[in-house]
Amino acid sequence: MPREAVMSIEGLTVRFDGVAAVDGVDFTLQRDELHCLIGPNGAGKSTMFKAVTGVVRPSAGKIWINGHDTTRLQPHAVARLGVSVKTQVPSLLEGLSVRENLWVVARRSNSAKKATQIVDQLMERIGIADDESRVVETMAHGRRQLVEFATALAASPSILLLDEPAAGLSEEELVDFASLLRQPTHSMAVLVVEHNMKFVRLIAERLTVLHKGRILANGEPEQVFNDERVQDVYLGKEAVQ
Amino acid sequence: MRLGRGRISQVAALPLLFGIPVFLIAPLMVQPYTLAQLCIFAILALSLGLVWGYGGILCFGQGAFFGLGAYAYVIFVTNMGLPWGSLVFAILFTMLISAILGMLMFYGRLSDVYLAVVTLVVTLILNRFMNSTAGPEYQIGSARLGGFNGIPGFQMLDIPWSDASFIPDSVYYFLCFILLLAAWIFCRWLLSSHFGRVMVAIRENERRVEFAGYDTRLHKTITFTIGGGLAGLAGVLYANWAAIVTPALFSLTQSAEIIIWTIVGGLGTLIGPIIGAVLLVSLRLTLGYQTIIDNYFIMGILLILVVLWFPRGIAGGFLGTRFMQGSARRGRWRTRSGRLSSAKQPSPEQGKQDAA
Repeated sequence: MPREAVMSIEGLTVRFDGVAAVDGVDFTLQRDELHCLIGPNGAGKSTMFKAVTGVVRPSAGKIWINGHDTTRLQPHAVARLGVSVKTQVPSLLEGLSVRENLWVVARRSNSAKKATQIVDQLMERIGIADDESRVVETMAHGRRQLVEFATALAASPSILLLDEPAAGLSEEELVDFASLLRQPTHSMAVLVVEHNMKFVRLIAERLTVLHKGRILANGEPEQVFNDERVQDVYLGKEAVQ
Repeated sequence: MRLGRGRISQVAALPLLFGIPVFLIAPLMVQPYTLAQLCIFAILALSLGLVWGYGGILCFGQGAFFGLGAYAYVIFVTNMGLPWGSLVFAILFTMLISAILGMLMFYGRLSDVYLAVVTLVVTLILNRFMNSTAGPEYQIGSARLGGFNGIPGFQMLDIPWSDASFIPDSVYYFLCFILLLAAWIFCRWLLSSHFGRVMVAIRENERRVEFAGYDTRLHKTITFTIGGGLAGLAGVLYANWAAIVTPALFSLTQSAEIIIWTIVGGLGTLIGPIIGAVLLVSLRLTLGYQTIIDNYFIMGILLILVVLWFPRGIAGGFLGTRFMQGSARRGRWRTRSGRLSSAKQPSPEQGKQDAA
């Protein structure tokens, strides 16, 4: 039975100097699903991500999030509709501690006491409680990725957008992170833009392939992996076997 | 975000502990007239320390709000009488102007160097404009702007319910000192509040804070407005101290000096700019008696030496041990956050940090 869509995109087009980075994309993200968006370099994944988060203004098309038209909204207004973001390169409050990074996010829609509770629980759950007083910029890349993931969760989002969360993670960290993502959470849809096929296979419930700014395939992971067009343009047959 | 009883004592403890002995001892060594001037410049430096050191907004035009505060007071008091009412109106007026300028800049997504340039240009425009207002047509109500000569002879702040038409130097020093302490405590309180924490977070990474759902443009505008208000207060106090306002208040030298005080004192601290202003203005006043080398030449050399040897300024280099963590961008938010980062195990370092 189809679930309710928390994000739907209709005919999204983003042009830079006349060149369409994203070209008429239709896309839906459903409640509670873990959806991966893949595609070769320059496929338009990050641009689509930026359009959804309000960083880039679409040239055409509509974006609906939780029933609101967010096409022309500023990033903070999109965030207020329950969208949390983890960017490709960890984007953190570099000079502040882990706890402060999380607290600022949790505090926006909660009382100080509740925010502190949320932060305590999250740090425990993600496994960064030992680092709570560490200044983020002194931490290793893998730990920073986790901190940013926790930061994104601190807002208690209904939609979580992760841009290449596996980038720079070791094999071990990758598996740990995948199991963290698959943990049952409160109703939350997750959209992951990812390059790392191993990681995608570990987590994806639904898969969309973007190529040259258009949707090439969309569906169950196995079905998409077996699609010949996908194998030709992106995966290469070896990667699938 | 509400300030509980415990928090008031927390934010006020250090300024009072530091301030009361200084207040009592200083008049034994220095004339109250000079001390009042030092307090006024310390408030001005504090305003930039807040806006730049914590808000991350490099404002080259803090001198503009200083001058606007001074001129606004004189224009209000000349037209309405009521010195204390004029003080309040002048501060509100300065805040209004800084809010408008802030909105134009932040909602226009100006940042970093562009912002510095715009604020600098605004200061220079005001300077040029005020210099060109010598003619009789430049009159606001009954206040003639007076061009290069400025406006002398206006009604000064008085002691309410007394016959005195001005405040004697020793009392004026007392007033300026109290206002400096109040401004310092206010800044400490602000930084410990939810708003203050978001302000520091924006300095660290504006995009991340936007992604958390905060309207950073609004936050930056408010920060800028508060800084403008503090500079305006300093301007009003200066007008009453000097008994004249001139376009020199808007000069490039004035704006540059505030930045130098802040850097030398220690960016990312509140006590740093206060110390920087007091030391450097004292130095300038002392050097003022010699004519061998230009004062500003010496100031420039001092700035270069401090930047090379103590990149974290006096407060960061001598007073703070860890609280700026090797970068001038560091604030004492971490330290002030008590409940945030040190609730479980307050460490001695955090105590020290808080002391800064």
